[in-house]
Amino acid sequence: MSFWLDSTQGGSTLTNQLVKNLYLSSEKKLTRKINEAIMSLILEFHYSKNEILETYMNEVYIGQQGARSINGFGLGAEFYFGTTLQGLEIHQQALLVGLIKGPSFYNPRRHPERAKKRRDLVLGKWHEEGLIDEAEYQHALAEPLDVANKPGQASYPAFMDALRRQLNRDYRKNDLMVEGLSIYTTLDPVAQQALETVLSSSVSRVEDQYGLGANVLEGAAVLTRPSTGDILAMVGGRDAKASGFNRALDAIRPVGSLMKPAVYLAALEQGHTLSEMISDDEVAVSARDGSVWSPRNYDHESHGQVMLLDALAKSYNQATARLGMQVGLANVFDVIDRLGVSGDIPKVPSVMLGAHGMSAYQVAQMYQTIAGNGFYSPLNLVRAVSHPEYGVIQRYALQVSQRFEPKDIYLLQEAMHEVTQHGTAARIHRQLPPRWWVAGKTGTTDDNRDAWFAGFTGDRQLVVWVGRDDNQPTPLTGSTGALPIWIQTMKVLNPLPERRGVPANIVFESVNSAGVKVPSWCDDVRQVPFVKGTEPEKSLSCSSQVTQPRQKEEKDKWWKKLLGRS
Amino acid sequence: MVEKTVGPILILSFMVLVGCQTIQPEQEQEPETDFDVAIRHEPEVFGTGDAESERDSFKPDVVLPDQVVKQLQKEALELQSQGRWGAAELKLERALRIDTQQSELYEQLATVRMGQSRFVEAEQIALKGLSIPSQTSEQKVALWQVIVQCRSATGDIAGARAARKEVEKWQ
Repeated sequence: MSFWLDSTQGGSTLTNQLVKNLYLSSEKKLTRKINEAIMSLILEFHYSKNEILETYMNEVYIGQQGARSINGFGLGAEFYFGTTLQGLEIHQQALLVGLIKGPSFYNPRRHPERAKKRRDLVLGKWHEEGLIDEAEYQHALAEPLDVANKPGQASYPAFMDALRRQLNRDYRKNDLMVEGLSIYTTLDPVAQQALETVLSSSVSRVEDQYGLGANVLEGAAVLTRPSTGDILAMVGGRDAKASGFNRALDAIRPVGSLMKPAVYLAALEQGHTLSEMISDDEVAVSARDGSVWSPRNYDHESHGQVMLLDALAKSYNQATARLGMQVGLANVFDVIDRLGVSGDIPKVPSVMLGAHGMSAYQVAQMYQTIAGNGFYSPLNLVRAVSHPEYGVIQRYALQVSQRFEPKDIYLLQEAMHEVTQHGTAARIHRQLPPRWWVAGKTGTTDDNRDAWFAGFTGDRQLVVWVGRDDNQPTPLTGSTGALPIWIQTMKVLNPLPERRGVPANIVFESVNSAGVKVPSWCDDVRQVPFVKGTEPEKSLSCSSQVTQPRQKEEKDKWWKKLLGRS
Repeated sequence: MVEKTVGPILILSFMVLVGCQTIQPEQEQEPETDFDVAIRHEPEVFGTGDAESERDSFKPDVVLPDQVVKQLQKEALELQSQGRWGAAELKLERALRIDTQQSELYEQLATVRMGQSRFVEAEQIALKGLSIPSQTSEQKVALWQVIVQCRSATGDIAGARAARKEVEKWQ
């Protein structure tokens, strides 16, 4: 029957406790007790005592680290002694067993004397029962508690936290804890290690450089593979080994100019071209509630008429806000939605300049669609889940869904490439090999509270955030705070360069500073991509803004004259 | 009252089921060994599936990523011919992690998804293949043909007709 091993609490058996932990609540009601008894009987009918004991040992609550509960002896060994279950000595095993009665009351870090007393009691019982001989008993009694100074840290806590959330979404807690599932993840340990090291050292260096003092800044980063949406690495803070607040997922911070690509993509979809001129003069937008939104450029200067290409590359707020209003807020929000931005984004104009908050993870999802050539793929941490008996029970296959036309995405990517060549992220052009094709965008928020960079090269995309947990200003911009981390990490990862081709309906034309097509031999011309049929008109001279009348129009006039039409 | 009476009965029934089998395997057409082989053993032969790792693991004069991709494609084709779609899919996804710029891989993967009757996904995979620049007319035709079939299978007659025009355009 079920009363094969008494527990010291309320006459419950070990099976009762297992049933309660797995299937019932801890409420003190008679009905619960009856259910518990019935379920225990059934459990013992179906499973051997060894199986029940094993499940209990894998599941039992044994400690707490912040919001994370420590369940099972295996995790307990890591948490208290920094070793595996197999690596435990007898006195350590006795402490773990003793802890079950009250992990908090007998916490060896807080109450070492109490814990030692408890451990020795267990050792005494084992000796009495003949499980250990006299020599082992005496030796174990003489041992100190041997608890590690710091709780044993799970490797890659930010990634594991995200993984746990994905699994909790798809599986019942009981199955995850008890069934012995094997989870095959997308983690790239080499990339993870590189990202952790670079982020930590870069943040410290920046603190020194700007005289900020130690441990003022924090950071977060998410590395993905654009072709599949796999998350390869994730760092939730400068001390990547510390679990706790996972900034990559939970630090919701204004993203600043990282949102601008959405405005330009909406414009490109509507037929605007990258050489088109737009005014960067001051702009004011009236909201429905009567308030007026008047964003200013970072340098507090207006830059006159600028090409769309430069407005994005140099991250001009005024030109972007004006363009967004021309394109229409509804269209911009539609693009934001299709890019895969989840969460509650307020429908206000300031979103175009990233006044709203997002996590690094959300930014990675948004940029994933841009780096993935207009195809949305949900970010994913799991490749497959395998059950010890049934084999693979779930695979996370490649998912793609076309959200944008390749031509529009191509133009946007080229504009974001310009950011890394002559724009706010030109540091990339200076510091990375010229054969690398990189596209990205910097983001800096009011009073430099947040520094962002999101960019991709080869088949790797990395989003980096640097700022302060207390949301105080910093002297950093996206270019000085986050970009160096991006560059350094990519240097270490050294991704294979992409074979970048040009879609069939894209042509490159030489344009001058006025955005007018000129012969390629003119000075100061740039090669700008256009969708066929949207190329600018030809100029009469290299510098002129006056365009040559189109031949087609001339012919029209000739025919019109012939037909007697004016 | 009702809750108190019915509760234990429901729980009893639930537990009988739980006791028999806690997790039902999801629809998995392939033998479990397909996955195990791919994950646990094949990396020893073909590397981890990442081009970077491939480059580090193998000297260029021994095995190049291109060769790895071709080998995976070949193996996938064999599995396809046996109707082992899930295993073939696994091979092709690994190949895509090594080389994202080969439209043939997308075409083959889309064909596999069609074999699994996952027509909407197959169409999207084929469209992704078409988004890769610098592909040959033959590759475009093959991808558009997949799209024709997918759209026909899902009853999208107008879409299939438009896709057929693309096939003719590139033939």
